[in-house]
Amino acid sequence: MSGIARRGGMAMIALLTLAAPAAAQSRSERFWIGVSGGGQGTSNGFSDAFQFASQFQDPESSRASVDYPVKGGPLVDGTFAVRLWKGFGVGIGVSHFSKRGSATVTAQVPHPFQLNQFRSIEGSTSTSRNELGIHLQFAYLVPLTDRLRVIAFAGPSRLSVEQTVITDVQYTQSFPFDTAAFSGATTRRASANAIGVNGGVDVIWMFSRQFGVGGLVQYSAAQVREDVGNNRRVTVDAGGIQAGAGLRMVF
Amino acid sequence: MRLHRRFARAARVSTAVVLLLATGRIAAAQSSRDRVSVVPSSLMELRRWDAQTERMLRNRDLRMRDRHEDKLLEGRTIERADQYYKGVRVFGADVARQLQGGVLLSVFGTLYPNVSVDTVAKIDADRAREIVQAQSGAELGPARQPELVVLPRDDGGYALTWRLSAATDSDIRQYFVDAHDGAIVFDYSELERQAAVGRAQGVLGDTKKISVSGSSGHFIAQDQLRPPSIRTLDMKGSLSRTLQILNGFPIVASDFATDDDNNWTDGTIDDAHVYQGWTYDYYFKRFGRRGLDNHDIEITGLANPVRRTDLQTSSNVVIGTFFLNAFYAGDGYMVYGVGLPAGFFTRSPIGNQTWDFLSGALDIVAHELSHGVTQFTSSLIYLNESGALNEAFSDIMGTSAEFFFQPTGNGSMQADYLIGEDVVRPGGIRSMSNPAAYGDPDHYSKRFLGTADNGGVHTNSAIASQAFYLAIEGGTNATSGLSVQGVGAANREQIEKVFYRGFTELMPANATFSVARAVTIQAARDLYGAGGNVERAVTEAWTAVGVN
Repeated sequence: MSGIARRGGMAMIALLTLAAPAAAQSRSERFWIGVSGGGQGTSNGFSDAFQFASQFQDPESSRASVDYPVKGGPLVDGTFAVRLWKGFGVGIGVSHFSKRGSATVTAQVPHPFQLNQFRSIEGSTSTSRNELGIHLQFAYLVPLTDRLRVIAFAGPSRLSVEQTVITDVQYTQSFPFDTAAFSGATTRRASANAIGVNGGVDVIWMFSRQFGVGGLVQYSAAQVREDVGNNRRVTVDAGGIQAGAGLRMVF
Repeated sequence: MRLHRRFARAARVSTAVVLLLATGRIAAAQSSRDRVSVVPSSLMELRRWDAQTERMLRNRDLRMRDRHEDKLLEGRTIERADQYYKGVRVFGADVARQLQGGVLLSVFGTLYPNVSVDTVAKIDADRAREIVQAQSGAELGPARQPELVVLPRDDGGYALTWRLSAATDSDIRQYFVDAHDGAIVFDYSELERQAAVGRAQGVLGDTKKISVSGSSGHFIAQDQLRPPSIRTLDMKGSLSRTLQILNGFPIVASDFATDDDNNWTDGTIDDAHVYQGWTYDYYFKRFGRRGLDNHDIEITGLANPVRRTDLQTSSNVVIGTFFLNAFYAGDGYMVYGVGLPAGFFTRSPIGNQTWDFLSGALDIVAHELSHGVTQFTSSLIYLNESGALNEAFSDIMGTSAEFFFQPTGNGSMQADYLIGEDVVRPGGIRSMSNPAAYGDPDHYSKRFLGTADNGGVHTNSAIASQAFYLAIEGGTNATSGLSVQGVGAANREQIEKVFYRGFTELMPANATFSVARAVTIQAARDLYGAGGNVERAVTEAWTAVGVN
């Protein structure tokens, strides 16, 4: 288990220990459904570096480094859970995070007339990140009052990441070739998934017998190795602190 | 005829579905003189061109060349037809039509509606073959038959020509031989060449980049990355071929230096080609000059003009010209001598010296190219003092190019004030800092007054070279004992610009040393102000070498 996963697990245990049943829960409250909108607060920026072919079949390769600033962004989350025994239950959650950004490319391209004389170019290109998390959640319902419920949950997650990655860099240059300019980048969509963990708390206020509103704070995390082509893989962090609010239904 | 009829039937235009692939184009027919581009941008124009091409097909001014089913879009047919004039194909004139179910969807092409030329050939196909063989150096087999075509000329006219392709070891070329008088009126390479950068090993075993042309894994020493064409020919030791080229015979593809993997290993060719490019770069970057004539005249270097192994059967004149020499032959042509075989040496005031391939020294290559700059600027007469100034300018620019690209030092491929030291070892052939060590005058009072060497052009040049050196580095002239406060090595660019301006802009053709002093002082004032340290350094330098 990764450090991230351990931290999530410890937080969950602490939360379950503190939560004490304050009121008997209704026997009819067997299924919970929640839909939330919110945001993912964690920035999962990462960097990559690679070589690419220089113009004019130059025997010296060009070198590029790319910074992908994956900042926080909007999140949609849905959960379905079933109570199995007393306050304990199991559920499945789905979260989707999407964020557009602009990757910064810095490259060193060789001078066509002189060995070991590289020129720097810099530019940016738009990228996007999509994360789809499927979370198995072992939950414990704590009915604090007649209207107030707290659900604590934790479990493994499967995080799928689709990321725009830069695989080649284009540049322009002309005589006397003292400078070169970034003109664009070749990108591809890289997809991969990995198993991680999740845990969190959903606080629900029931405004009717079956319906309520909830505020959700959860943490999910995994490290995904993306295939960026040319036999290269880049490890990216997925998930993070997520918060949202929305409708809850209990029946 | 069958193809023709199908074409005609299919050419009905539907008003229902018309794809105009070139929508947004402003003009339907873009004409340049007689040339008409068929690019309809509306249904009406499509109909008009359909009618026009139909008429031409009926008159056999258009003839079907190809008809095939479109492999990408089911149900579509592509047709191509060539334009003919009195039964002779018009080169480059054709239309391409796209049809679906007999409905014309698009038509694009180039037509020449006003062709006018006598279509009776005065020379036959065999004679045209002979002409192309002689021009290309290629031996053409019996299957290679020329085609009679009408060639639209750039000037708007037309020529009846025999079109024939000839392949050599480094090019495939289309020739158009005028069918009336046998002149080659147009030719172009069919080999798709691209600029390529390779790796080259120099005369001294160093590695450098080389800018060449490449096609299908075959590379030739023709630079496509710099504004002028810079090419290097491999004479393969043939003195007769070298002389042919210097005497104006056409260069053919087999004359070019070539390499199969772009990893060049013939040092004399590699250095000649690379250093010609560097010299162009130096003039451009330092002075904004575009080549020898400032208009990017083609630069041609001839390497391997003789074989080293032929040394002992060569005359002294040949040895002095093509072994122990490099020279500028006019109009952008340079020849680089091959040096001496191992075990041979020359005697000089500084001792015995071996000679490597002369193109292996950047200052020598830049020296020769600088003679070209002189040719197109001051035209300093190559005799007596003006001749010495001509030589001095080449030494000055050759050394300056060295300092521009190489680190300062006394070792191999390091910048110093010796001439040719990288290939004439040890010590090179002249010294700007200490001319006397090579038996050359460092002071005007010691100038050579005889008639040999055109009045000592390679000897007396040292006087001006010493002035250049002192203006930069400062120091004391050994003969006069006068000291000069130079601008310093960090400011060498100032003195380089002063001498460049003086020698290329202000210098007359029959200049004396005294005139050289005046024009460089004037250049210093022009560039850096009167009474400044640059003018002072230049003035003191000329005074120190006894030129007033």
